[in-house]
Amino acid sequence: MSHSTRRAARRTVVVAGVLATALTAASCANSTAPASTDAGSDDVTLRIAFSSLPEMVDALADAFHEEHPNITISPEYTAFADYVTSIRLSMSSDTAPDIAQFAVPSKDLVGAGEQLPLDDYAEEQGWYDTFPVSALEQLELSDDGKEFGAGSLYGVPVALSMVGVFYNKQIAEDIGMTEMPTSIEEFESALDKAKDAGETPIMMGALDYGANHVWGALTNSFMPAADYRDWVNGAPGGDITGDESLAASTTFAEWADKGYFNDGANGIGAADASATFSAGDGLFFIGGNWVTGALDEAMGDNVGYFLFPQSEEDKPAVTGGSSVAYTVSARTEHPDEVATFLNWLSTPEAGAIVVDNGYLPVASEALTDATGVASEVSAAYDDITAAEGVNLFSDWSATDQLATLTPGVQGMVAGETDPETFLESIQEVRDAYHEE
Amino acid sequence: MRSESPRLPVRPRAGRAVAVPAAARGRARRAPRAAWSVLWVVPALVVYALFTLWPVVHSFGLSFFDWNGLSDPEFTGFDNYVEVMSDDTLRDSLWHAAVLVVFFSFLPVAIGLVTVALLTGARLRGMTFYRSVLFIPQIVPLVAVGITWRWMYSDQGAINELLRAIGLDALARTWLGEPEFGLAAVGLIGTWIMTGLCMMLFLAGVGHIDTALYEAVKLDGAGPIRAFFSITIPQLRNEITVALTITIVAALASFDIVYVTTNGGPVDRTNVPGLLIYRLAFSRGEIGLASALAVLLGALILVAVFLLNRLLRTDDE
Repeated sequence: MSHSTRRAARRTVVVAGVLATALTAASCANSTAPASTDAGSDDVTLRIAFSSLPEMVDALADAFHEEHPNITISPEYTAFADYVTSIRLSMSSDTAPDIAQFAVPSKDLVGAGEQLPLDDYAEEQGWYDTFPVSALEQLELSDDGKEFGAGSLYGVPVALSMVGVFYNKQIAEDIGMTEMPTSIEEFESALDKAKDAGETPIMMGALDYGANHVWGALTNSFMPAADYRDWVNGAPGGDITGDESLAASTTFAEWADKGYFNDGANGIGAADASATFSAGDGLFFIGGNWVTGALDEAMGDNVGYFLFPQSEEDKPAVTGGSSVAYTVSARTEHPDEVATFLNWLSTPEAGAIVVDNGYLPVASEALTDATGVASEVSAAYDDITAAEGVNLFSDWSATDQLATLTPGVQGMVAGETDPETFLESIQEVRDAYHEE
Repeated sequence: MRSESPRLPVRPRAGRAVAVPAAARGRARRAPRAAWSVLWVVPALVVYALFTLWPVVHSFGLSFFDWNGLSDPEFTGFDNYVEVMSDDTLRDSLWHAAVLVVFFSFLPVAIGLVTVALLTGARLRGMTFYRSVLFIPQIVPLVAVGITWRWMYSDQGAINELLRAIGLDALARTWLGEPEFGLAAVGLIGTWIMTGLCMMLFLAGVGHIDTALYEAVKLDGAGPIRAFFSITIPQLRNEITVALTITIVAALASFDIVYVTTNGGPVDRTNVPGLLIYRLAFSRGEIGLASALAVLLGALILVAVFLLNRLLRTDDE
């Protein structure tokens, strides 16, 4: 891997604008370059390293610069797979970007002291009033970087996402589903009717992360929200092997057994599954709001949206979700300017740009223009924000959880893995991560 | 260890391996100028040492440490190696790589030899065209190949459509999605990629076989099958060695195809060492453990190639 890390490091250097092949040459160049701040000059350039939504970031940078002409945001895009492999090195190097998108390695970087705690700025500028609290909690980390919802704040969200249920209105009408299911029983009855009518009840792609969202929807529905949060956040004693989560996983396995998922779900990815759903195959598609735009375009009036029902009537709305969020390098020379930018992300102007790119904005007033299924998504989003009901996706429970979670869910889809063994395996991965 | 770097295509190695005999001959003829040639080699050698040899040495060193890429490395001796050998997932991945050798190497070589035997003596019009077609899999980027095959293997994909069209509905399934078939399905993609390469090598080799040999065995009363085993295969020994070397290395160091098609699934049945090295290093931040697996994989490849060349060495070497 040193082969690759070296390449990755080199790429970062090139991104920094230094056309030297050797790392040493780059760091020399950097150390001799004078800092561009201080000395009366107000013009500041902030470098932002990121991997999601390049068009959105460009638009945000331009719009922010217009309002704050002395601050230039310089976007440095890296494709996701390369971003997660290179961010450790670039954030701990002499040429670290000022701002970096939050990703799994960010947790280690917090532990290594490379991320700037933002609590003072949050208090000063009232971030806990302007940003959704549940999204900020996902960016609070303990000093070792392992536990969420504890310790200091290390970033702010810019674009939010959450999981819900998209449904095909035509198929719903055909099977006599006149109202949105509000309980698991009603949901299952719709699945059953769809199956009897020869339709695919749930279109799902289990080859990658797609089925994890279906399993996650059930788990969030059955488990008390606080218990799930303790587990995924890494709080001491967090446990996912209890009765409620077992009931959720057992239901998932039963659905597979009853043929409620498309044939060969293990052989297609989430993107292919949503494309198949948009072509008219499948009553439900359970996934993130990031497919809203594509489904709206392909299905128009024929697609609707609701939040996955809770296992008990009085259980407050809760769902899986995350955000595209930005953290700050502890090495930045312009923390105040960075904070100005982060604070600006909660404004309706920033929100409008986020909405244009198909994500949910921090400022929900930016959503009022939504039409079609997007308006149903934003209504659900308002409900969920009011309930502070956004939980981290389960793969955040340990840095390598996805490598156990995905095969386990695939095993339940194939009828090979029993729910109890599966839950024990992901519990084990999580506990091992926190014991290290 | 090339396998650590996901994007490095397997193919350039093919070029290098094929070029070896020619380079060796050249060196022998121009021996007096050897001293000078060292000078010309220096720039390339420096780059090679810096970006290939040093990372190998560095990885070897790292394999004895517990390191997440950020904190201070902690020396742990052979712990990483013990873990590689005792972890089921890691051990299974080595076994999967061995299965892939059958698909990436043995099958393409066998198919290549049979096809070449059938073509021997036949004068086909448009041979250049066929050669180009056969070689296309070598030119298409592996990621594109992987995505295309993923679609072809899907429930409504070309393969199942074909099976249904000829009445074999019962066989239709999501090939990549079923634990029993995933590895074979991935392997067959490798067969598709490698067969063209093997055929090209063998076709070139057959052209150099003295036709008098075929006439001689014919006079001795041998049929085409006997001629194949007595003349074609022994005469192609060098090409077969090269083909086996390239394809076995490709199988053991496979990454791209698996990463794009199944990413190790379903239910961990297609995990290969290259994929796990990548995950260990970059998702889990276990650089030391990843290095240990990479060192073992590298050693395995070296041993395999060494044995192969010992086994198939021609007499004049």
